[in-house]
Amino acid sequence: MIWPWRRAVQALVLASVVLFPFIARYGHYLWARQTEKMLSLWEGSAAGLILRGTDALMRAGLPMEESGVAGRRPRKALLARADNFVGSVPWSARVFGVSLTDLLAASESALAAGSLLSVLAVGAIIPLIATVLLGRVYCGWICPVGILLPLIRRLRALVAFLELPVRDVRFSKKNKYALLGAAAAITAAGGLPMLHHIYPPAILSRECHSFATVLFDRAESGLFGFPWGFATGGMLFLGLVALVEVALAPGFWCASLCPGGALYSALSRWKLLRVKRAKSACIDCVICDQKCPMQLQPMTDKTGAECDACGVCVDACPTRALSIRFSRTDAALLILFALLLAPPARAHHIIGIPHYAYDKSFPQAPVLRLRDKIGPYEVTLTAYPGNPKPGEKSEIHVYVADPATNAPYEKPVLLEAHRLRIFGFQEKIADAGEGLVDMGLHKFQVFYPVEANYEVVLVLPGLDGTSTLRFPMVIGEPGSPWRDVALFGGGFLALVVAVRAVKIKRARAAARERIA
Amino acid sequence: MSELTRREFLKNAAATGAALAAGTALLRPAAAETGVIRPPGALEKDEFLSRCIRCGRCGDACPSQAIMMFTEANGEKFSLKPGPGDDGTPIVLPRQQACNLCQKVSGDYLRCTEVCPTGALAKLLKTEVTTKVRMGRARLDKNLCYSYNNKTCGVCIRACPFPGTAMKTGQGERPIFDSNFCVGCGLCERSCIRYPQAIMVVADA
Repeated sequence: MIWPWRRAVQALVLASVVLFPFIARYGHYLWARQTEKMLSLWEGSAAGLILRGTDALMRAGLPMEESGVAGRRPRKALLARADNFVGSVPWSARVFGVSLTDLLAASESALAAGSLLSVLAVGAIIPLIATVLLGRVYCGWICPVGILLPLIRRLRALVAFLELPVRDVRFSKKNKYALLGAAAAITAAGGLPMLHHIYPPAILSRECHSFATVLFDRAESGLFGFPWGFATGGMLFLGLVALVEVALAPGFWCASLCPGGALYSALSRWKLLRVKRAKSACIDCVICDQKCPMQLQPMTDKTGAECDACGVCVDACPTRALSIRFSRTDAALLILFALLLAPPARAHHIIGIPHYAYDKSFPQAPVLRLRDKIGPYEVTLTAYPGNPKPGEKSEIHVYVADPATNAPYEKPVLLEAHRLRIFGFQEKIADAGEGLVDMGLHKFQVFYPVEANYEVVLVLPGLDGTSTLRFPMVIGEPGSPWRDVALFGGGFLALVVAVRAVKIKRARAAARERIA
Repeated sequence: MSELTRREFLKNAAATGAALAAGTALLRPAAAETGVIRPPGALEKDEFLSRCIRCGRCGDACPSQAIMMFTEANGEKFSLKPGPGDDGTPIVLPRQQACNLCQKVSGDYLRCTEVCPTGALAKLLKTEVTTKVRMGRARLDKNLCYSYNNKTCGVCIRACPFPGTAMKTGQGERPIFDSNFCVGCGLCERSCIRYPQAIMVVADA
């Protein structure tokens, strides 16, 4: 039985992908001595729950005691622990002081910059050696996408149940080498790494970081809703891959298109770990060929460098003819090598006091500083608080100056506020008015009646040509109308699926009755 | 094995091309957006962008949470929008949280430069801060500064980690900058009590 081990390792990696960003944030609050404050402020919210969970996880086994004071959070010990988990698993992370960098990351960075720095080589050496010796184990055992995609592919059962066409398009496994080669050429020529935009594990870990950042940043300014807007373009790409996996070509990404898979396969030509087949036991049943997620043929020993040592064929074989193994000399060499790799001891001691003014304004001051240009002038608009609650007074300060001469704009500045309704409709909530002029600043006070998206419009009547500037202003957590449309669309789709499923179920039951 | 038919070829070329197109579309060279402040030790712009693999280690390691990954959500409060080449790269938004140069953190190195796996942030000793860190330079707008308008303030002078060199005290606590010594940490910008602040750190062009 190989699969339980493999799934356990993958689940561990996936958990790290999700947890590392939270641990980092937790570490930040520890540095700032704000953990207790945040925990009590965020009681009952998702952010508070996550912080509490992270705290419990990190504190496991440590007594609540620091410098002889019982009941005080063991800050130094926790910081030392948090320092063991830095970065984006598995793209590039420092785990227990050992720097590990994906070979794809390392090669695209070195290629784009045109030289290899020793720091980078140090981080890539363990993955490189592991790949050369063990082959594409990264894909089968480490990559978190390897556990997510099979889960998503379960939706194919739903597609089949709904009597929609279930397609199984196969692509050539050579595609990924073409992709890798082309991308390498573009990277080398353009001087910018590109593959992390389309490499699912890199996207996944970036999105997890983005999620934690947006969630906690919003919580710091008192907003506790779901952090929509954390997703970047990479999320769209992941969604697209998932869609194709379900609807069109299961397993296509890992087997035929993943640039990381291409690199790992290319490096594992002389690997030692291989699928062995006992010819006498094999009954040519083709089960292994059908089950192989990499679309290889273990029954005829056609596995080679593409094999990711996932062990699916080994588990599936009814006569136990297949196994994954080293030759005996290889194994001896490996053990020797593992001894060489024993991690060096590493001392921590971290004492730190956050800097001046950290506590005073932590949660961080709700800063909003929007800038734009109009005519020869540069306009800076700040609002305090930046994202006020409905009914709360918001101070808007506008500074208009000519950047060339640094002369402030002397003529009047008017400010209007509009509430934005869906599809471009607006509603004026504050008429154009002149503000208080103080040392070059135009100061306005605006009250926003309800939670919504607003637009602050500045009018500079003294200017020729365009004289209005528009700045977005978000009050509370109104979300975007597009989100509502998407939620509605998703709900509608789910309803259609459910209705169709019920219909099919009834039709089948009726058919059975007719036969009986 | 199977013959490579035209249909097969087109199908595979389409799949590869689509993936490649997605990558290059997101890659397009960074838009004209300049002037973002990079963490200490960052190489010059082009080389930094080539070396950085957008892993976020520096942000995780930063003890004062000053390093943010440049995403639309993080930039929008400051009217900053990442160009495609900038997406996910580390920036410092000093008005929100300035870099304290790991002044009161133990260890010999600046933490972000110590964890950077690619050398996009060159590893820097804390003793090298004054000579090797150039995140930007502070620029003062005298129209906005209280001290230059006969109201003494001096908050920035108290926040500066290099008082007397990077920032000297003038009459009525007027800050006087010396850009030869300013490392661009942004602590003055962070501490300024005016909204909008009178001091802004601008990246070297």
